Formats: sequence, structure tokens, C-alpha cells
Amino acid sequence: MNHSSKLFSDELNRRRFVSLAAKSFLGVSILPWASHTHLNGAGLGLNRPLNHAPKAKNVIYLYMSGGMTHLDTFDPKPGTETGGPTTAIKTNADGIQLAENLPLLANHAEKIAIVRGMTSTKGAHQQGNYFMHTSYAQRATIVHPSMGAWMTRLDGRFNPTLPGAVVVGGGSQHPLSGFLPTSHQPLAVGNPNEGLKNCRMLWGMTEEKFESGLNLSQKLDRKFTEKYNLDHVNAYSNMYEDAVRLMKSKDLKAFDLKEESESTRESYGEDNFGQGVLLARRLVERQVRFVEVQLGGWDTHQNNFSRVPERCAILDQALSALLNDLSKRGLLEETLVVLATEFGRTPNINVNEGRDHYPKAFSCMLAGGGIKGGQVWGATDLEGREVSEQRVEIPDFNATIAYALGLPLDEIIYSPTRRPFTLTDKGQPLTQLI
Amino acid sequence: MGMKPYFFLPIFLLPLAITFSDQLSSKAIRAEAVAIDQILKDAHKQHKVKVPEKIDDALLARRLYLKIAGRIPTHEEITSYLANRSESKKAQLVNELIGSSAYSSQMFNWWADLLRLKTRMRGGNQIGAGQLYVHWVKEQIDKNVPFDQMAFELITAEGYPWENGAVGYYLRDAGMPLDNMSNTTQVFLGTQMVCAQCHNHPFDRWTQMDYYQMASYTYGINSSRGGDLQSKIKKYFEKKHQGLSYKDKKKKLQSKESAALRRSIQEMLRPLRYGATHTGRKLTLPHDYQYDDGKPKSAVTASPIFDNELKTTSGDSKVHAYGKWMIDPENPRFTKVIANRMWTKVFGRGLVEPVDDWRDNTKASIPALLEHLEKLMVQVDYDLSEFQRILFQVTAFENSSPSFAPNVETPYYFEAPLLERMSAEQIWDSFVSLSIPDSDERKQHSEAINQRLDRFQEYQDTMYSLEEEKLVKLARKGSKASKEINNQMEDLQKQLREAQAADDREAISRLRRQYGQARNQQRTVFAKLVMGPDFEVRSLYGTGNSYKKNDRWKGFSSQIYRASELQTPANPGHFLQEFGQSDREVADNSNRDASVPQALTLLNGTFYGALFNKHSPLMKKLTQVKKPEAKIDVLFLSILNRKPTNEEIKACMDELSPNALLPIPVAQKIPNRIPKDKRKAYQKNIEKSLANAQFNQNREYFALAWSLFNTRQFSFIQ
Repeated sequence: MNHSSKLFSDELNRRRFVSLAAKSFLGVSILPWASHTHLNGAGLGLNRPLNHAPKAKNVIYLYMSGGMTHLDTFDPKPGTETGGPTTAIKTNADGIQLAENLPLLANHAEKIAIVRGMTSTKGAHQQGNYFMHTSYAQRATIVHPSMGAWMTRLDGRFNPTLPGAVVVGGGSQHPLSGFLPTSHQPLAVGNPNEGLKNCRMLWGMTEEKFESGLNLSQKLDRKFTEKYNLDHVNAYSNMYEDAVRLMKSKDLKAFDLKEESESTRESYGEDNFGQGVLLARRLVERQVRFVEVQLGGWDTHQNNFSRVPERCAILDQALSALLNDLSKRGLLEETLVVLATEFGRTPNINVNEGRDHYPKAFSCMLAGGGIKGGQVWGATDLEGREVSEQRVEIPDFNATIAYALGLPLDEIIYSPTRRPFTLTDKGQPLTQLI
Repeated sequence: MGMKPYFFLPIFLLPLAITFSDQLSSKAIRAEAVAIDQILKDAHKQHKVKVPEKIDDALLARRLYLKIAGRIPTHEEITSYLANRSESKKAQLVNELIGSSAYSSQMFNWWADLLRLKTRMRGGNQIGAGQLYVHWVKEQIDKNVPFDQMAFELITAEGYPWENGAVGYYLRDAGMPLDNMSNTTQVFLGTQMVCAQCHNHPFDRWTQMDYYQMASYTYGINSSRGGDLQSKIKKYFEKKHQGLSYKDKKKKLQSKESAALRRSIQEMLRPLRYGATHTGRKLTLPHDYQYDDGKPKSAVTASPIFDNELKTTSGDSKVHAYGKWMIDPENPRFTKVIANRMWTKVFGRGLVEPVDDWRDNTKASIPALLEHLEKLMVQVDYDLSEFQRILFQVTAFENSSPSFAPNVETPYYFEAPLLERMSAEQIWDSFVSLSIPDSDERKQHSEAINQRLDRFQEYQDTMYSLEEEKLVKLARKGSKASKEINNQMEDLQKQLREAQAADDREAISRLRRQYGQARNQQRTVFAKLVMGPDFEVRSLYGTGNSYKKNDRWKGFSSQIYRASELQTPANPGHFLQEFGQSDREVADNSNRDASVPQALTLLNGTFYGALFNKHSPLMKKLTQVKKPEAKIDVLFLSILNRKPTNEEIKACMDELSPNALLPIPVAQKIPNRIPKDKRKAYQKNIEKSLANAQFNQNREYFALAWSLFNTRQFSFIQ
């Protein structure tokens, strides 16, 4: 790890700790980086108990796209009609059961917190997906930023040469940085096996030629850049510097999965998701703060009971390998692992042996990053139809993630059209999970 | 219409008048430009603005090509412009470019951003409605339909996407009629009302009631059609089941057979489900309406947001009256907003900024100019090409861009266009023009689209003419026929899962393909039942673009089309998206911000392969000349569109390795020892290896070209 960047990150952590400590002891907020942001309006959350020093520095966000069934994964209902043929298995955490489809994860149950009381009103893919990623309802008039972009906007990057956030396997609908400037744009990686695009010099180009060629560009540009010493011109010079640094950065190797041993790669699973999760771990090790990896295929309107186990096999393997890996490397405390989806699936099984969309009740999961493991938060009724304890709305779930990271929930950022937004709209974090 | 003095000429001078009118027309344009010059002059005097000097010919030509043709000029184009000694060459160029293929391509990008066009759009994607909407917009641009007419057609659109492509306006916001209204006001009235959908607007004067009253005009527009067919069939079944006991009826409806039949009918009706239908659906206040001026869930009376009268002549539907109100020259914002948008397009910034957030206290930086432009827009009957023709003749357009960048708050007095980076489309199109010949001509296959329109019309006509009895019979037949395919598809799914479990990659891709084929077959069954076995079903369900092989571009990559001809918007990760092309989720959502992936693309991008291919126009020009200075000249003219200075030539020569400066090999005489029958082959071989040698020699110049592409001068429009 780069020595100076470690100091930088330690400095930021220290300042953050001081400011948050001050908040709780003195009831006063000191946010040293607030001067360039717009801090007015809805108050500063002084009513919220801030008696924790946030441990999480990074997020690995696993997104199950299509609406993951809760009844066949994290909230099994064995023996009921709605549970179907799915049975439940014991885990290494007392009193917590998982569906039989997640056997490997059962050995890591002491690390995870399952949120069974998720609820939403958005039962369509696009709207649900958007809502989960941004905490705002999708509108035809603005695009809100996703959490990775919010994070770099509110709390900066820790590694100066790598992007602040990365999305692996996301579709074209991902809101990415929304209305925030492109400097906060999460980097989109399609195929984790391919690495980062356009990072290698053109064929036939040598380092010498590269450098002298760029020098020539600068020379030819001298009159122009002297005359037009403007922000939007200089931004390019900065980006070029960043790009060249990235090309030369040994952190670039983070994207090269061939550095990992065969056995490691196998343990995550030789599929795009598994390798994507492995990439996420590598990036987080190099201080990329937010990495999202998407796994699709959960929209099981047909053949739920044959498709879900297959999806779960991929998820189970990757997630367990990740938790194992992170804890072995001592990274679990500072890395928040999130598992989310846009909605659950119907308790009633339809004519095609499938389950349809069901936002009323579903499950998500949190692990690491200071989250108390081995717990279940909330519950659904006997058949999994309604949330019976501890309803959690999507903004609340996202607020919990932000809270674990110590991100300011009340800070208002204005879009270019002067509309005010906060990180999770009005979400209230589940502080009890930490 | 504008001044047409030739009307006053006696009839016998008419033949002269036809040509005379062209000349006068350009004189009229000149006069309009001069009028604007005068207003600017006054403003510059008033605000003590120092007027910069004019830019040279080359930079002016580059500016004009980028702004009117949407790309940099080719080597031929710039050399011919520079060699042209005519005094009116600038006006000539403007007239040449406006209305050209290149102009249409670039106007499409402008419209696409405004209307949030998507090839794969929200409503009607199953039938590729996005492609039809895009096609309609392109047609209007080619026909130079006036702006107000186009706005009216979009707002009042009704029908099926093939009958009236303008219904895409409502399909785009299918299911979100309230948001559609705020898009309308943003686009055509430059007014942001969106906040007021849920509460009184915090910054502006709009109340939630205002919002609902305005939305009432178009709330009745449903983004689906075919309801009449559905009710026809429903009535048929009701009649059929008359007399059956309730229990029997229920049994019938819930039977598997009945469900299959219902699915069949839906499948047959599917292509006819998408479009815009004007209904009498009434808008009511939301259930949580919190203000005193109305009760929650009560009906809303339609009322427009501005005071100009909404005239309803008899026979006018509510929507038509609304459309007329929108485009009325009396409307306080409609004309000002489009005039301002055009000004922004030419000068890089509006007289009013932002261009779509006008308030009561909004003031233009030069109020007299805005007033004048508003009148001018009415005068040219909202003809955007005519309006732009005038604007490009304004003298200030020829001046050197200022070296400061006014922010949104500071007023700017337009002593010159502002320096801007090329848009994503401009950069891409510039690369395209360097990589393939005649880039303006390489377009989507319009014949295929027209065929699609015809097929849809046929399908619609047939379906609507069928008797219910016949329709149901066909549905039953379809149900039976597709049963087999359904079973097939289920079986394939099973096999696919097995293959995935066994990680049999080959089987997975094979089975996926087969599944897709089966899916198409399923759709085919129904379409062919209705239309006959020879019907081209694919035309009903194709969603992508249609390209046809054309020998002119044989050997060139099929990815290299101008931005307006590609899938719109491009996929994330595509060059266009990386450089800030709008994702079309929100109006005017493009950006010209810098990013690291952009720098990486310019440094190491894959398109260099196309550029440095020996058949690209860039390479062809390069290999035509021999001396190093001439080659450097070619590169500068092709990429920066100007001649290099002596200093620059020296800098480049210093950069080239000694290898590049060696003389290029020439063909030798064929030695006598070669037998006569082998001479032809020998000659051919010599030519081939010579071409390769020349090409290899030119590789040093690739690096030079690379340096030029990575300058700020390349990507910024001076």
C-alpha cells in the first residue's frame, strides 16, 4: 500500500472520529470538509445517537438483480405451503436458519446480519432497482447518484490513482453518478476477466515514444493552453495525468485476476460473478472504496425451485469465499459487505412453478464493517407474506450502510437544477445492527 | 413569411425572379445578420466590451463544419476552402452545409437530446417502437418541418407508431403521464415544474394545483391502444356465455384451456398494444393533497400556466387546443425558448442561462437581442435551418473566443462564440470521417424501416377487419400450435439448466440460441396465422437498427457509422457514452466533462486501428505524398484542419526518427531475366511489397498523428 495514501486515510479517519466524537459529547458538529458543500436546511441529525466510531471504510455491494426470492434464501418457511419444497438448514449461529440453498454461507452465519423485514412499494424491475440504488423514486426528470458516487462525493477517495467506485456487471440502467460531476463516476467493468479497458499502450508504442509523443502534444499546445487557461481545459490535463498514473500504477494490477492463485480463483467460483467478487476484494485492498458486483437471473417467474438453487450455488460460493477471505486477511472489520435486491417474490407459487414480484416483504443482508454478526433483524409472518416485526424501508437500509461508514446523512447536495438531495432521502439507519 | 420582394415584380420578369429570389434571399439573410450585428455592437459599447479580432480562415472553417456538419472538415474540404479566393466563401459554405446530409445527422443529435430519444425505449420496446420514433424524427428533419409544427404534432400525437411516429412522444413516458407534462414544459417552455408535482414549488411560483391543472390537458392520453379490439373480444365472449350459470361460467373461465386461449389472444394482439390513445380520463388531485384550494381526490379543472388565451374552436379537442396554445406566438415563452436554444447552439451559451429554467425574473444578458430573435423566429415561420443560416452570418461568430469562461451567474455579451470541447458526437463523427470515406452517406437501411412500417400497417388492417368469431378461432388454432413450441421451450430450459450445472459452455450457448429461435417461432405462429405463411414476422418484433451491406464501405468495420446512425444512446462503455453522450434519461443530459476513461481512450483506444488502417482516408492521403514536410502538412490539415507553422514543422521533424526521413522506395524496372509469362505476377508482387513498405514507413507518422489527437486543440473548438 502506498505509504502516503495510508497516512492520508489515517488522517481522514482521525478527523472523522474527532468530529463525530464532538457531535455526541458536545452536541456540536464539526465537519472539516463542509466548507465547499452546501450545509443548510434539514438540520444535522443531532437527535441521532452517534455513539459509535464508524469502522467500515469500504463497501462490497452484491446486487442480486431481478428480485431475489426471500423464501428460498434468507427467510425459509419449511413445512408451509408457501415455503414449497425448500427446507431450512441450521447455521453456526444459534437460532438462525438459512434455506438449504446456501450451505456454505451457513458456516459464516456468525458474521452476517439478515434483515428480514425489508419492504417497498416498487414492484417493477426498473423502478425497484433504481430505488434500491439511489433511495429515490425514479423520475423522468433527473437521475440521482448511486451510493458509490455519493460516497466519493461526501467522503473522497483514498487511493489517488484508482477510481473511487467500481461497478462490475451492471446494466446500462445503472444510475452511476447521476447528477454529480463525472469525477465521481463509478468505473463500469463489464467482464472481470478482461480487466480495465484501454490501459495498455497501442501496439508498437514504446514507453519512450509515449512520453516523447505526449511532450510533443504539450509543445504544440503551448500557445493554446497559455491563452485558454480555463477550468474545463485544464481538467483534461489533470485527467491525462491521472490516466498516465493509472497506466503506470502497480495498483492497476488489481484488475488482473491472473495474479491470484488457481485455488483462490476456484474458491470464488469460475463464473463472472465469482470472479467479480474476487476483483472486488482486490480493489478494496487497494483502497477502492465502493465496489458493486451484480448477479442476475433472479427473476424466477418460472421454475423457481430449479433456477434458484442454481443461482444460489453461484452466490453461496462467492459470498462465502469472500467472507472467509476478508476475515483471514483481517479486512472484515473495515469492509462492509452488503447483499441487496429490488424486491422479493410471492409466497404463492404460480402455475409455472415460479414466484412473481413481491415488494411487500423481502430480505437483504449485511456483514462486516462493524455490523454485529450472527443476528436476524425483523421477521415476516408464518407464510412470509407480511413483515411482522421491524419494517425496514429501502432508504432506511441504505442509511444503515451510510451510518456504518460514518457518512453524513443530513448533508444536502444540490443538483445542477438546484434541487436538494441527501444521501438516502429521509432514511433512518438501523443503529442496533452495529 | 419573411420579406419576399420578388412578389412585387411584374409577371414577365418571373423567370429572372426565380434566380433573383435566391440572391435576394441571401441578401435578406445578410440584412438580418447585420441587424443582429448592430444590436451586439450597441451592447458591446454599452458594457464596454473589448471585441476580439477575427480568427483565421482555417479555424473559422473548422468551427463552421463542426457546428453545421457535426464533424471536422475532411482534407479535401479544408484545402478547397483555404484555396477559395471568393469573398463570400463563408456564406457559400454555410449555405452548402445547411440542409446537407451532415447537417441532418447533427440536427438529429440535437433533437435526440431534447426528446430523450432511445432506440430501445420504455413504451413499446417489444415492437421496436423506439426505432420508429427515431425514424419519424429523422424524416421531419429531412423535410425541414418547422419547429412549431413539430412541437404541435408531438403534443397532439395519436395513433399507432407506424401510422404516426410522433406518438413516440407519449410512449417514451409510458405510464408516467404527470412526468410527461413536466418534460413538455421543460422542452418547449423552458420551464421547470417538476418539483410542483408533489408540493408547491420551493423556488418558483408554481403550486401543486398549477401542476395538476396543466397536466389535465394531456392526462387523458393513454400510451396503449387496441382497447377497442380487446372490448370487441370481451363482448363476444360475454354473448357466447350468456345463459350459462354463474358456476359454469366460472368453471369455463378458470379452465386451463381458457387460460391458454386468453394467452393466445393476447399474443395476437400484442403488436397492436402500443401507441397513443386520446381518452376522456380525468385527472384528480392526489390522495395526500395538503393545500386549502382543493380536496384530495377531487377532479381538476384544466388550466394553462400562462395568461395567453387558450382558444378552443369548435371541433378542437382539449389536446389540440392545448397544443395550439403551446405554440402560439403570443405564448410568453415558447418562441423565446427556442430562439435562445438556437443561439446557444451557435454561440455555445444562451442569452438566458440555463436554457430550460426560465423564471419570472429571468433576464437575458442582452434583452434587446432576445426580443429581436423572438420576432425573427416568428418571421422565419420557425424554420430552424433558416434561423441558423442567419445566425452563422453574424459577424461576432467569426471572432476569437475569449480566454475567460463566464459562469452561469455572470452575463456574457457575445463578442465571440465561447470555447467549448467538442461534444461526444462531434468527436466520434470526426474520427469516423477520418476512418471511412463518405461518412455522411453511410446510413441505416431506410428501406428496411419502411418495410417495417408497411408490415405493421398490414397487420393492423387485417386484425381490425377480422370478425370476432374468426379471431377466436385463429387464437384457438394458435394456442394448439404453440403448445408444441411451449413444450419445446420448457424442455430447452431444462436442458439449459443441466448444461449450466455441468458448466458445459458449448451446450449453454447452443441451447440459448435454440431457445431464442423457439421464442421467435412462437411469435411467428401467431403472426402467420393472421397474415398468412409468407408474412415477414421479424418486422413486427425487430428492435435493433437495420444495416445493409454496401460495397462502398466493403472491408470497413460495421461499427463505424456516424453517431446518428448507431443505436441511440450508445451502450455504456462505448466511446460516445464515455465522452458524455446523453443517456437520454433526462432532457439535455449530455456533458462535456473530462474523465480518466476519456484520456485512456485518446491515448490507447481501439479506434486507432481503424484510423491507421491503410484504407482509411487519413492513411490514403498520407501515403499519397512523399516528403516528410508534406506528410506533416497532411496530418495537420486532416486532424487540426490547418497548416502547420514553421515552428511546428520543426518540432515534428525533431520527433520523427531518422528512419522516417529516409527516401521512400520506388518501383524498379522489371529485370530482363524474368520470363514474359511471369512478368505480370512479378509486377503485382512488386507493387504489393512496395505498398507495404510505404505503409510501414508511414508508421512513424502514426505517432505524430497520435500526438495531434492528444492535443487540447483537437478536442476543443476554437
